[in-house]
Amino acid sequence: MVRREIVTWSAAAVLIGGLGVGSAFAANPSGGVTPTVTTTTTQGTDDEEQAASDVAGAADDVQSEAENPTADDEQGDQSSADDQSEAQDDQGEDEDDQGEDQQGAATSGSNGTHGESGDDGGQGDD
Amino acid sequence: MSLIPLLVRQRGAATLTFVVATLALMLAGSASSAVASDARLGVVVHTWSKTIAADARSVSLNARQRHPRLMTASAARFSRDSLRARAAIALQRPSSSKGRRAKGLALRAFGDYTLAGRRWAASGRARLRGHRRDATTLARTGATYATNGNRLLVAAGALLS
Repeated sequence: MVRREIVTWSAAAVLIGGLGVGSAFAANPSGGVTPTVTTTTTQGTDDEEQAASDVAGAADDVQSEAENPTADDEQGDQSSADDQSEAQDDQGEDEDDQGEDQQGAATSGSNGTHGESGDDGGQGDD
Repeated sequence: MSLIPLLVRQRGAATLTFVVATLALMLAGSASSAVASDARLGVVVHTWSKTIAADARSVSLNARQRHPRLMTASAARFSRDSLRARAAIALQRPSSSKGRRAKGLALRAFGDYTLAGRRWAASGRARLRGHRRDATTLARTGATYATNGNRLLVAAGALLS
């Protein structure tokens, strides 16, 4: 009888302990690595904002260069053989997606006015 | 009390204990792996954001220095890296709904960057041929894609933070 009680109480203790561990992981999922994950994600958000800022700057500069009536700096504008082949490769891709461009520009225009949920119909997930 | 029923009861209690402990460990394991897969997606997005930012700075510098050939090559690299980023993000399997939403936004952000890079490269080539009007139109289209991509990337980053 005493043995049965011991076994029953042991089972109850293990059950409570197991549920406790499980709920602790569920409530605080990152567990012992919280500081690392927090640091990474904070820096990560900065990464995206920095990238967006740099891309916006590039867009402005490309536009200014395209509209600039003054002549280009021919002497400094010497690209390597690798750069030339990259640019030529990309030219093929560019011609391929002319149709996509026209369709995509229309989509992007509408995306600018709608919320995020409206964007989901764009290129879609995998 | 006979010994056999006692042993059967003890074995039953031991089995119950084992099952409960296993379930608790599985619950803990699935919760931590869900977070781990979302965190992995975050690391991939952050890493490619840095690469794209560096490429964009090259495009910017070449454009400011009025070097259309170099700008074209930089823009092509920007486009290619965006495509690679998209492929890397597509391989991730976030388990939370927030992670899945972030993945969708990031995929579309880098898709827009790919198109922006192509327009910029085409603008550079048009500039080299002396077609200023085409160059301007392509640069503006590229800017539209870039703006859209920026918005989506920042939204994805916010979800992953």
